[in-house]
Amino acid sequence: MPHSDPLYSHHQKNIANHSQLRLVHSVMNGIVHGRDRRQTGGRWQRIVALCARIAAASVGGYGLAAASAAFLARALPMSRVEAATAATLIAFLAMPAAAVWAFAASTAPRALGGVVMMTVVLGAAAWLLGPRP
Amino acid sequence: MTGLHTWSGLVIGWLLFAITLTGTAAVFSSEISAWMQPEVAGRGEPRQAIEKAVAWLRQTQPHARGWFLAADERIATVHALYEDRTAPRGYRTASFDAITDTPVARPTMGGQFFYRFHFELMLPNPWGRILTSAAAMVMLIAIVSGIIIHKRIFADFFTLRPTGGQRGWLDAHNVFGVLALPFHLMITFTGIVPLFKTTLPWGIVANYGADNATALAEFYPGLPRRGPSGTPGTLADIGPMLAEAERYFGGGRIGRVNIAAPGDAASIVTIMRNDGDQLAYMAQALRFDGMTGKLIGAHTEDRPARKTFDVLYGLHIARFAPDVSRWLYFVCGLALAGVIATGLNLWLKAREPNKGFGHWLVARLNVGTVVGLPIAMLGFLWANRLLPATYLERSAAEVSIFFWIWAACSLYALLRAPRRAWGELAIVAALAAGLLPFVSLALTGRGLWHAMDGDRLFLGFDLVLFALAALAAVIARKAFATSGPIRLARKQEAAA
Repeated sequence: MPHSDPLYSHHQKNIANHSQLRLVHSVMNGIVHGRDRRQTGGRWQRIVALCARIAAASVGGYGLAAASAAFLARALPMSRVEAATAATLIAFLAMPAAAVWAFAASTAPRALGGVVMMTVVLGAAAWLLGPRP
Repeated sequence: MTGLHTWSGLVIGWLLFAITLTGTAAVFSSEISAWMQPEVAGRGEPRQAIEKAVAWLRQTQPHARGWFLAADERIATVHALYEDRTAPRGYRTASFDAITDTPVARPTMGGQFFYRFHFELMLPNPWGRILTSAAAMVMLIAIVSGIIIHKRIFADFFTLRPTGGQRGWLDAHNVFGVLALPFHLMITFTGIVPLFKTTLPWGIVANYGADNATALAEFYPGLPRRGPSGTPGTLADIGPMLAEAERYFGGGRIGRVNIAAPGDAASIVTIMRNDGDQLAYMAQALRFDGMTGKLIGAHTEDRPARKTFDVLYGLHIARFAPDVSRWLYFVCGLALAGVIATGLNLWLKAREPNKGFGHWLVARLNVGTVVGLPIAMLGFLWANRLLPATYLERSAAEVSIFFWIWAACSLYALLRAPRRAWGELAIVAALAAGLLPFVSLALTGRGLWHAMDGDRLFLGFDLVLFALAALAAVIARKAFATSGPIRLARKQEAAA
């Protein structure tokens, strides 16, 4: 089934001759098709799964960065301006981390769920801590 | 992960190329400014130039909301920016040296144009900043995922098979990427950080809520905290304030002088230390009461997190860097532009032959950006030489010309077959870069040939232009050389 997918058939054609690229291609297949088999029921399902991963990486990644910034700004044991600065510097790293997770997780629901869960946990923790005095 | 790398790179590739190339030029923004104001030779002490600028602004712009003076890090010139409602962009600039009483040079944004375009794209705030920050974040993701999918980083350091096919482009992409990888990571992350108040304000919001004024005051303790009073006042003599600031900086140079509400009784003079003095950005600032000239506040940054932020910022803008490091920044920046350009091309090569609309569009956008943007940047420099020096709106006109040329190149690339457009536009770029030193010499009387008299600035500038012309000529030659199916057919003939 994956090999007849029109989205990737042109890869197939070009890559067949290059051993190094075949490796890359098999990794890509693994991500898009192989380990994602549980939702490879049809083309639309796969597109939805891909959109979920993209959403997890972009919107989810930003949400996670925002929640990390808020949580750390309230939790770090420094003056509030220092905590806010340090929190922001660290929080920027949450976005690439979320993006890598979004495309490395074995299934799309795990990808999206992981990012959303972390965001909710950090956001709730920030809310529980409340504004600093 | 390969898909993440490929598609994140493609979506923002063109924007990133523009950001990277203008940022690379901005490494030498002082030198570009000096080249674009050939009347200024950078004479005398910057401190006297500041005094000259203030005296002139006092006479001609007493009611401006603020005067902002920046002493150049490299050349003894002071650039003044002041509000002017009659100007197309709401402000004007003027440049001063220590000798002359009036502005000494043609008005131009100079190298500041590349610097500002690099993170604002000349779009209204905050959209340019949001767009560039988003692009930088996607680039960080592309770099991280690029490292993950890269199986043989060390070997690729030494691998380049310039076959012209997909393999050659992949090798070039890897060489540019791997060679300066630490720089790419550093410049991307430090590029995201400075704009956090626009892009990721949630740490501040968590601690300050909507109280922006308090947040700003705590984040920038060195900056003024009062607005104009409405009562007219007279600004005290700036000389003693500058002298006191220099004493406070302990031998450090004065970088910027901001004068808020200069004609008001509550005016404030802020004097900041030169960013070229230390790694950290904006490390020291003094505040003076404008009417009395008394010191009302001094701040030396020593808070650990904030200082970390300032150092990251300073690493990005490279004002601290001595000449050798600046050239390294420049070369690494070009390598990053190379990563992006080869990556965009690789996307095409990996999908050939392909008649789809996506392929059609990407091929044309690649030409319009990768060759069109450098032509527009050169056009900006040409405009500086060709527009009359006395034309009042020339500063804005130079910028408009940049955009018109870029639009024209993109349109041309859209209408023409990509391989033809590559070659033809590359020839235009080669001519634009190669002829500029001669035109400039004819119009200003300064150039490569005066290097012996100590005019090093034009020497470096002209040599870079010649190098760019040579590069563009090589690209044109490659583009015009038969490639693709024809070359393949030849190879098969040879093999048979």
